[in-house]
Amino acid sequence: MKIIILSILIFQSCLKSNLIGSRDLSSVDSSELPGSDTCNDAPHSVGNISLGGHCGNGKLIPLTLVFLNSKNKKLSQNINIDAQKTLQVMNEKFSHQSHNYLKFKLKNVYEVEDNAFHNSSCDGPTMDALSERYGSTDSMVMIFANDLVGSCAGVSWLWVFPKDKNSITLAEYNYPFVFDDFTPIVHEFAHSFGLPHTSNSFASQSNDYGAHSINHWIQAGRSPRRCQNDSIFYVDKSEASTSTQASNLNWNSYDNTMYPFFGDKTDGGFFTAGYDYASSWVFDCWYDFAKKDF
Amino acid sequence: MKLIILSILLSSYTFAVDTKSVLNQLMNIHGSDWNAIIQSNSDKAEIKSTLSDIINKKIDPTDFDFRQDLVPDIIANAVGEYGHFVEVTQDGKMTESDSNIFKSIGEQANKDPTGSLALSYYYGLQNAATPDSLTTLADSLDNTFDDPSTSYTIARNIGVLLEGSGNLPLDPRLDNSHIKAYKPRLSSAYYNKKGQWRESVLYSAKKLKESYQNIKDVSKDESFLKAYKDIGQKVFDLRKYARNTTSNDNEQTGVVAKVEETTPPSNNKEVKQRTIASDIEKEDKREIDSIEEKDSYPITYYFFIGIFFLLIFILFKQVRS
Repeated sequence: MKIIILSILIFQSCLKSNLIGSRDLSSVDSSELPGSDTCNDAPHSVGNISLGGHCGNGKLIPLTLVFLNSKNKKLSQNINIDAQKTLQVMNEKFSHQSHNYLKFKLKNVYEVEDNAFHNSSCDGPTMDALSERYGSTDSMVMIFANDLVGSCAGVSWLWVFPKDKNSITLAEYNYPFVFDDFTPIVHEFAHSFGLPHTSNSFASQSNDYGAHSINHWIQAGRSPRRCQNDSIFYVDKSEASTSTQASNLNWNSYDNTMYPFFGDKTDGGFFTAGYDYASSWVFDCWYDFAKKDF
Repeated sequence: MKLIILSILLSSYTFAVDTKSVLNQLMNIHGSDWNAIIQSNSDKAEIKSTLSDIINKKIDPTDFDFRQDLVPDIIANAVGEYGHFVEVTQDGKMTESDSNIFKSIGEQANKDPTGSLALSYYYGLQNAATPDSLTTLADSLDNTFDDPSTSYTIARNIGVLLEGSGNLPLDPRLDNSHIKAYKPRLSSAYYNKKGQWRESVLYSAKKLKESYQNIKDVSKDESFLKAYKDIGQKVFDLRKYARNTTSNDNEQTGVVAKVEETTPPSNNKEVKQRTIASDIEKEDKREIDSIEEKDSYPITYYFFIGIFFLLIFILFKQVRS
């Protein structure tokens, strides 16, 4: 009987210490959030960000790539070659003024047979289910599917990071690896760094969620607050001038945004002129993950 | 005055639906946002006409700066989106011209029933949401009987067609949450739409059941089979609305009857039809029950229960000794 009781006690202590089960960041106090005690908290503006400065050099943001095969179709002939190509493009496209402030590394690359999600949807329930299966709290995840419903080429599930502990992005395999167009990949990851679409088309209904607008986040500068679990944000059109005041950006212009369409843009269809990581609050969260060097 | 006229002209130019705006929506990374460019019924007609021209290759996307190697993808996207714009006749079926477009695409799609064009074709049939598109969709399952993922996709299309996707709430956690879905044909369940639905609904349920049986032989992935069965169950549940209506009901205003409000059959033919339908339903129910029973108590469950009691017994013996 003693042995049984002892086993139960050990099991319970393991549960409490997260040795069993995954860590739910939504229940973590903001002061305990990864990296909240690290970066410079001072507000910044465009041009003021220290390229490769405050947060240290040589740290890489971890990527996990998942290839969803079906019973009869294998997406990739060689997932390692595809992964290396993805890494190369990511490092290239996220360089800023020839400065690789944002750099990535491959944390995990794998393929799996998943007949239910081989052809997938870009809706909430699907992303929720996918995040449960393949999401990660310690890397940025891109899932490659065979086909996405309708015209959808990619989707990002990261707007409440880190409330949703398993954040993911999803894209059709064909675009990068058959058509050699990495737009959906870079586009979705850029959303993960907080970048909206051109002309505020990314904005959802203002003030519906009781959260801060991205304009406020820009003003706040680097702050642990931005990694809290109520970090739903949107571009508040009514406060367009706020960002101008805060950092010389105008959210109603073509600055600092991404085109929502692709296939006909000379720059590959993503970053429009003026992109600057200084405006990306989510970047700070991920960068802090990178610093932890998972 | 000139300024005002110029402003009006400019504003109308800004909102006009043209080929470029339609192509852009087909290559919208997060899916087509038709509501963003539709201002009037004439815009809908213009979009439909442009989609038709893209499908029939009367429009070359490369003339609008789109890459040549993306053209097949653009055409496939046009096929899927065309379904939203079909027009229906009095009996609820697609008009002849719309039906011909799908027939033409279907012939191409059937050459590679698991390919990209075929997947868009199934999606287009779903969006058309007519009794004839449902029948065609159900028939497509014959071509994919040994392919679990494509069969599952078609099954999902059938489920959405019957149930309707309604006005789904926007999810702020998605980067496509700004897109308000344009799905006029899927705004309600099939039984609220006019048309002769009975035969095609019963037929699709039958084909789906056959497909599930086939897929069970091909895939042993329990979670996948459960997901497949869930869709099948939903279709079976939705089928009852068609079962409890007569052919005459369907011909008039659509299938709106509920199970408990079924009008008694008025002739022998209908009685016979109902008896057959009832028998099929009982048969299907038995089959589903047996599957569920099997799934509810997998062998692994008994195995672990057995191991657990064995461990308890050993521990008990040790403590006693």
